Amino acid sequence: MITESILLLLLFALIPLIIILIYALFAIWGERKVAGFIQDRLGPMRVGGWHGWAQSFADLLKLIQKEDIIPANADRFLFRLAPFIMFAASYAAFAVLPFSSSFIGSNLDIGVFFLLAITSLLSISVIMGGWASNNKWSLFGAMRSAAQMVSYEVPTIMSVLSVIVVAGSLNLMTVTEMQSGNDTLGFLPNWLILQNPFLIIAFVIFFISILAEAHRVPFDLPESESELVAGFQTEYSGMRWAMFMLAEYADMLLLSLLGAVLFFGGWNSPFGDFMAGPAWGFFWFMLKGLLLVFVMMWIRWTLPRYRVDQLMYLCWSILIPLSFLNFVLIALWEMIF
Amino acid sequence: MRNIVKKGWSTFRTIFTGMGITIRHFFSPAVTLQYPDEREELPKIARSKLFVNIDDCIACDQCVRACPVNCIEIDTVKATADVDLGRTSDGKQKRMWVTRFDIDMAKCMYCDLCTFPCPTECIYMIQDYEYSEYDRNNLVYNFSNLSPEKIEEVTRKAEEDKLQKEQQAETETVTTKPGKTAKQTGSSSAKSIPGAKATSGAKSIPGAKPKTVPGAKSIPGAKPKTVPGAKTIPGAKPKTVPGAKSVPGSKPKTVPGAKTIPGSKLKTVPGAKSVPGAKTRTVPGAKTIPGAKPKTVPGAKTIPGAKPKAVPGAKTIPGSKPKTIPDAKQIPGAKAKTKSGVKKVPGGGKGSQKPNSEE
Amino acid sequence: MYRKHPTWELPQKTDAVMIEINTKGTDERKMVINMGPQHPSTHGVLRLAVTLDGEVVTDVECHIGYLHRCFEKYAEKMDNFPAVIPYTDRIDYVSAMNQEHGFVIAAERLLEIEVPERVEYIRVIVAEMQRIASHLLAIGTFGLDLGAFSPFLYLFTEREKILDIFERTSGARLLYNYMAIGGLMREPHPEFKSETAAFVKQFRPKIQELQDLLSYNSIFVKRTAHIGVLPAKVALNYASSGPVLRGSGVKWDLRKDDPYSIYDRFEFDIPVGSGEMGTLGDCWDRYIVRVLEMEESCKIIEQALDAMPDEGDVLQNVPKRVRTKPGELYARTESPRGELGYYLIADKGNSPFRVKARAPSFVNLSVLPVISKGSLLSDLVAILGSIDIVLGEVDR
Ligand code: SF4
Ligand code: SF4
Repeated sequence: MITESILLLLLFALIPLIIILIYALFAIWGERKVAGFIQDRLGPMRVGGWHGWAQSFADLLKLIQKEDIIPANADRFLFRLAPFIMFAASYAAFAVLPFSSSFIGSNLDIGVFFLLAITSLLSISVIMGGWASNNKWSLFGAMRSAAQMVSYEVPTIMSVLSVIVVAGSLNLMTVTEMQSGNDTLGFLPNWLILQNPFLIIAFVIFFISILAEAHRVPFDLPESESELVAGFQTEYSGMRWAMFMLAEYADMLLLSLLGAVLFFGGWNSPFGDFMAGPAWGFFWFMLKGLLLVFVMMWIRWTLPRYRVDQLMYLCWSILIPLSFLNFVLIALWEMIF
Repeated sequence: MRNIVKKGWSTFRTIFTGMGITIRHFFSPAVTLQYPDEREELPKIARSKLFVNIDDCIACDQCVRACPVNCIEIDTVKATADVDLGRTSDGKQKRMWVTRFDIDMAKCMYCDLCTFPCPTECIYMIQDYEYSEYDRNNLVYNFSNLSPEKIEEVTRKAEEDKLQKEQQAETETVTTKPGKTAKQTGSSSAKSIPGAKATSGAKSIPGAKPKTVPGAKSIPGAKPKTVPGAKTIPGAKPKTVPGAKSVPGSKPKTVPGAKTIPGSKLKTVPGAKSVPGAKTRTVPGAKTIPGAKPKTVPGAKTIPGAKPKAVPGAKTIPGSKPKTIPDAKQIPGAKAKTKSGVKKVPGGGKGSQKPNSEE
Repeated sequence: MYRKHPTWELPQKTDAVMIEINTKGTDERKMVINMGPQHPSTHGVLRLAVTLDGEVVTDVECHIGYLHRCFEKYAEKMDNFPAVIPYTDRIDYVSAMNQEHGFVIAAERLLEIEVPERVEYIRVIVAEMQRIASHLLAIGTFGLDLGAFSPFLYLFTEREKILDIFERTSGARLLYNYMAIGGLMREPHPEFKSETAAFVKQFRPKIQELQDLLSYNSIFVKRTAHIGVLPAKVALNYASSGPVLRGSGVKWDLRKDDPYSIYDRFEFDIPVGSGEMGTLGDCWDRYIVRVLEMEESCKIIEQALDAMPDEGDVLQNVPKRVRTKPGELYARTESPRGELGYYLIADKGNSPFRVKARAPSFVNLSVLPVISKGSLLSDLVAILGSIDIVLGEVDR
């Protein structure tokens, strides 16, 4: 009995891991494809036949074979540890995401809270890696990253909080379930973003903040290539670097999926009962998440990046006041209607 | 406040404009050329690799002079009068053998300056751009189509031809030598006999060498001859000059005959005159002496083995023969003698003796 | 750990300078960091020793010479004048045609060689095309420095079209060796005129697209406006030229102010910075000057294409052997980066006795330490990008 439940637990733990790994491989390929198409190129074309779909696998093989370089005078222990903490943090957060109506890693009542708390570990691992590298560029990247992630957590949490106020639960499964049905204006799905006009503003703030949390352009300062070489990853190579990449893409997906749960009905089908069910639920959930990921990529290949002080200005002087104001307005709206 | 809203609005507006542009590009066709599968047609004048149509090259050296980085190297040999190298495709008479035409594409900067001055338009750029190599030495392209043997042959011919002409030109000037040479031979032979022979053999140069210095090769050799077997040598050379070319092996054999020849030399070869006295005495030793080698100069390489055998006293010689032209210079003994011996060493007898004793 | 490592300690000399410049904070707070020679945004092999206080740049020291190839000495050692031309290509490999143009003009004046009309037109056309190509690269990499990747590749697509035309005209894509003293190395290909006209026609909308995508993008403007302000006075004192000087509002373009070749026959404007988005002479002004200059180049090309004679041998005045007359002169032209000057001395013989190249990048780079003090590290990258140096030209 006990072994069975442990096995079940492992299986449940394994599913998100497999999803992450497959997703990361294809997201890296996909990002290169998106970049290629946006830039009138083709992107990877040669490995694996059709549009070079196996490019990431080839890259992975290459990275596995690479020498593991640790710079002299680096803090070896922290240097080694950082990528794993980063990956563990983003992986652990997947536990509370409801992938479909019948699958959720851990149906926590404080799901959102857990997710936000565990993703804060990311900034610790970034600082760890940057500082342990004993490289000035890395240190710069780490410091920027710490400042950025700590700052942007505030608007993220505020916008999430606005959703929680509307939904009335910290459990992500509950939040999703209450978005099922197509009653808004008679035919639109009951997604939260369509329930309350101020939640649209909340979503915009949320989206901007997750861009910053996931280090995406225009907020990719921690690794801004043209200034800091590669930011906190400068000294990493081979598999350790691959772990960072993996964690980064996982983080991107995680935050996009969170957005999908909070604003777009999670695993709910947009057509009511049509194409609904656990399997379809998984499909819709991933589709929504991946669409947000695509938008992130699209933005990345369009915009230049902010400067570090502008980033802070945007956060503290615009997004945070706005999100507080928005929060109050949402609360008022909820009281009135 | 209004300002902030305005700013915020313009931020969103410009961002969305940009995203609109990028998404339009997302759906527009790519400009990529899938290189190994698709290739761009290069224009005819594209400068990718140099090519030399060596059949048309008249070895005028214009391209070498035009090249700013000196990456073209040409060696030429003048064709003898009896050979017709043919004409280039635009009708120019070719007069030179191109024994080497190397272009170092690793150095080349594709400036095209070498192709403009070429009178026969035989050096030009082709559109082959895929010629990377693992070893940069492989980027040196040899365009000369002569085989090593052919090069050797034409070089020898040209040298002999040159020599002949020079000798003819200098016949008058040689008159003073005889006495000196005799002395030299004696003195030099004492120390370096073997080396001397060898050296002399390698180049085998007739008496004329000392004065005319046709090529570096001949010079050292010339002295040696005078040294030991000065007498003998002269005879040998004359022979080789006309008949030697074709028959390397024959030289050793002819050695004895060499003695007889002296007379002939006297007539034909200007240098021969100087030697006369010496020869007559040493005739016997002369045969054995490397004198044979001298003749073989160009073709000497093949001969070496033959000579030693033929010549009894040759033991010393064999080593010397292989030297051939370049080696000859290095041989210290030979040079020393030749240079210093002329003036310093009075005793000519020794030189002549040694060969004899060896026998 | 932070203190242990020797590289964290500041060199003595820099300390002294820093104390002078910045009285805020103690030296312990400062960090010297090496940008380059292997750094993504130093545009080659420039090395900047940057002294930082936090992220604020307190001092910049440029270390150059990593790409020094002895152009001037080579030029003296050449056997003849034409052999120098391929080396001028390599001074500024991004605008090789303009480099050649400058040199052949200098050489022609020195040797008193007349140039046929048709050659002049073709030269102007290719030089202006090259100017566009060069500005495309400058703008693209500037965007790249600021994190905008896509405009870079859109612009490269356009540049590629120019290079294609050049390849069909001269045989090479980057280092053309196309201009000869007294003429051109060869006739342009038969479709030269129509292809160039077609290029200009389709290029204009792309400039507009660039304006929408990058120039007026609010993030881009935020990153460039008010940044690296170069007052006109400082620019003049540092002898800067080209878009760097014009970005500061000084209307100085040798094509108008000291016309060479046949530039006096064309109608075109000289765009200058206006401080439209920020302060006069900031990065955005320098940037927009380049964008607008591309438009002006299009105008020149169109006029030249119209007026260009179709008949005429481009090789007729090219001397078989160049023989120099003793003399010396300085000839200057407007390269995409500013005043490109060649100072030639010749005595008897076939090759120049002395060649001195006044490279605009080198001179323009000297303002970098002046205008980047007090800015952020990210701004330093932007400022460097807006100056648009080509290391080949800086080091020669
Ligand atoms: S192309 Fe230029 S560098 Fe190359 S061989 Fe010819 S002259 Fe020399
Ligand atoms: S210029 Fe032409 S003909 Fe003269 S050596 Fe060179 S390749 Fe031969």
